[in-house]
Amino acid sequence: MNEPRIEQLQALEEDAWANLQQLYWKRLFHYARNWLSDHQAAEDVVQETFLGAVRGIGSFDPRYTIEQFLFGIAHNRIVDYLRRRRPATRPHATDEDLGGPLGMDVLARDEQTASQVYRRRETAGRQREVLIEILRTLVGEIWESGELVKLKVLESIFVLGRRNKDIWEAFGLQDEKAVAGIKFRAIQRLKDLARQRDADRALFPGLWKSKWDD
Amino acid sequence: MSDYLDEFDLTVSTLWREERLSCPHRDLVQSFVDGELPPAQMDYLRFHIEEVGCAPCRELATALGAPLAAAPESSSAEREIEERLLRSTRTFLGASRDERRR
Repeated sequence: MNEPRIEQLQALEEDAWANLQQLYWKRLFHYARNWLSDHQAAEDVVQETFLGAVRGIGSFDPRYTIEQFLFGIAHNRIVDYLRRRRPATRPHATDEDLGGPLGMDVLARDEQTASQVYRRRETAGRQREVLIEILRTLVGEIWESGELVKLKVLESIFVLGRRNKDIWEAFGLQDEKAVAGIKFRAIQRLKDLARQRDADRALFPGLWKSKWDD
Repeated sequence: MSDYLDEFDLTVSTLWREERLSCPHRDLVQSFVDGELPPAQMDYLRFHIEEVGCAPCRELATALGAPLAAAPESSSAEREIEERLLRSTRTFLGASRDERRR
């Protein structure tokens, strides 16, 4: 099944949207399910993702793929859900602002002016580029080291959303702490790489205030 | 774990999937299909393709001749979710088209 054309989606053609949904709903559902313990919440996220996509398709940014567009909306809906579990202190993102998954700091925003929105998008784009770059470096380093169990652990955590207790035995590790150690060291390495690219700490200000900066 | 880290994990997860950060090069997939990789790499590719279920790599491996099991068919529960989602999107599309006409 081929992906529908953007023009068909922007024309709100029912068949095109049904086709798009058929192509992506399961992946979106599993993606949401990895982060939300509640099955119904995951379904709600997928539903809200498609409704958000209908709302936002008119201002679709052609620099992104439709997959990035959908997963970007799903990402923000999951963040919204996670935030609703604690006292709300920040406004939610709007679909109109979405061009794809955003960096961490841009998730919290209340600016209104056009120049601020532009600057925010620019920062989010740069955050995204840097994160991709340092993650690629990390994955490359693991491949070079030949310690592919580490890559399996990180992929299990970040892609499959598995918990430490569900991983250690399957990969022949000593215990849950071994899994936590692999993740901790990977994050430390990402932090080092981020430092090299964000010397003045302007790109990821929230990062330096978090537990990440132990 | 802080909420901030939850969000960071989610961001990494999104980028990892979108950018296919751990997808092996085509040559490695070919070597995997031919069974010519060292054991640790064979094990990793099997994990990535079969357990993680990376769709593009699975498709590539199949195209290169890997005898992989077919993806499972939708269960009735999945079909129900799909139908609910479709109904909701259709209703919203109708309302959005009406809105445009006004």
